[in-house]
Amino acid sequence: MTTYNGQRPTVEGGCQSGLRRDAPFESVKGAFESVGFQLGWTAVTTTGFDPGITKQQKKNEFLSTALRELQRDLENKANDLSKLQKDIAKNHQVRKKYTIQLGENELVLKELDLLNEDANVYKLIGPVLVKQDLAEANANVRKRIEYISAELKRLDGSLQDLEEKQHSKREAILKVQQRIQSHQAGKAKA
Amino acid sequence: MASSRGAGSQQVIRTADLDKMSLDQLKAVKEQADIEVNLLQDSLNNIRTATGRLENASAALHDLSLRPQGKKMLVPLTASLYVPGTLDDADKVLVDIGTGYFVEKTMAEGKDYCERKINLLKSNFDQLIEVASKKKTLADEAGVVLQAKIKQLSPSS
Repeated sequence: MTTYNGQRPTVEGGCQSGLRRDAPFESVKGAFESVGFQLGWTAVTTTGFDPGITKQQKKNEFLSTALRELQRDLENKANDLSKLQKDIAKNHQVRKKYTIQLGENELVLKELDLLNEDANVYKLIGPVLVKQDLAEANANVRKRIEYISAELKRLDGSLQDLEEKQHSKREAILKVQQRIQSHQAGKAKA
Repeated sequence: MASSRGAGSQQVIRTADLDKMSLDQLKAVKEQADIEVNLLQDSLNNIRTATGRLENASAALHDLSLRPQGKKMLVPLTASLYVPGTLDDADKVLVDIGTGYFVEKTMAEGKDYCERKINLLKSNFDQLIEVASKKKTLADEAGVVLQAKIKQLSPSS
């Protein structure tokens, strides 16, 4: 790391301490501040001051690093968004399955209610038909209906949560895209 | 058995709105409507199949009730193996009510069960047909407006 006027450049002090004769730095400072990337400081200070590199090149170098950062950020956010969408689709599928089961169980309950007390109820357990008590069968079906309803409610909650996250991710992506555009506009002008 | 689509968002789009939409939006609306129409058609087919099976069951029940007790019959053990047997009691039948539960019913109750199920399916079918035809008209309208717009934008072609 080079030193200037005997002082090591710091993040804040880099521009003020003894870099007077280095006009390039003054103009690049503006670029730094417009993007607010602290990273830029160290990148430039460690390369030292080679009069061969023009201030324009330094500015471009800096802008493309920032651009790459933003693009990487965009990629990450896009991946997160697609994962969220997959989760939402899975949620829908599970919801459908549960809704169908709930309907079926309600039909069974209705049929059981229509029966007389003495009617025989059998349950299919594997390949075996087992005689069951009507009261027991009723209780089982009712418990199952309760369980499925609770599961559906839980899924509803998590679906809302996922949708909110998706929404905020979309907004964040939009912001990053706008920043990239303004960067590229800045680069084009340069 | 009744597929409830009420959970999803029901968007009522009028013809006036269709005109205001851009080309891309119209295409999206049409595709969405087409997908929904296909789904509804599938459901309708499923209901038709189920109704057919129930009617077969009802006919079989009716046939069984006509047979006298002690009649010789061939009982299927597998798809290709039949065993001779005699008809015991044709008055009691086991009815599958779903989720693995079977109920012993009399012949009359069994027939009644089949009838009830068939009626339930028929009413579901009618409801679905209404919804499906509405969606289809929407899809057709969107298609018409889309084609008109395309023609407008490219009069030379």
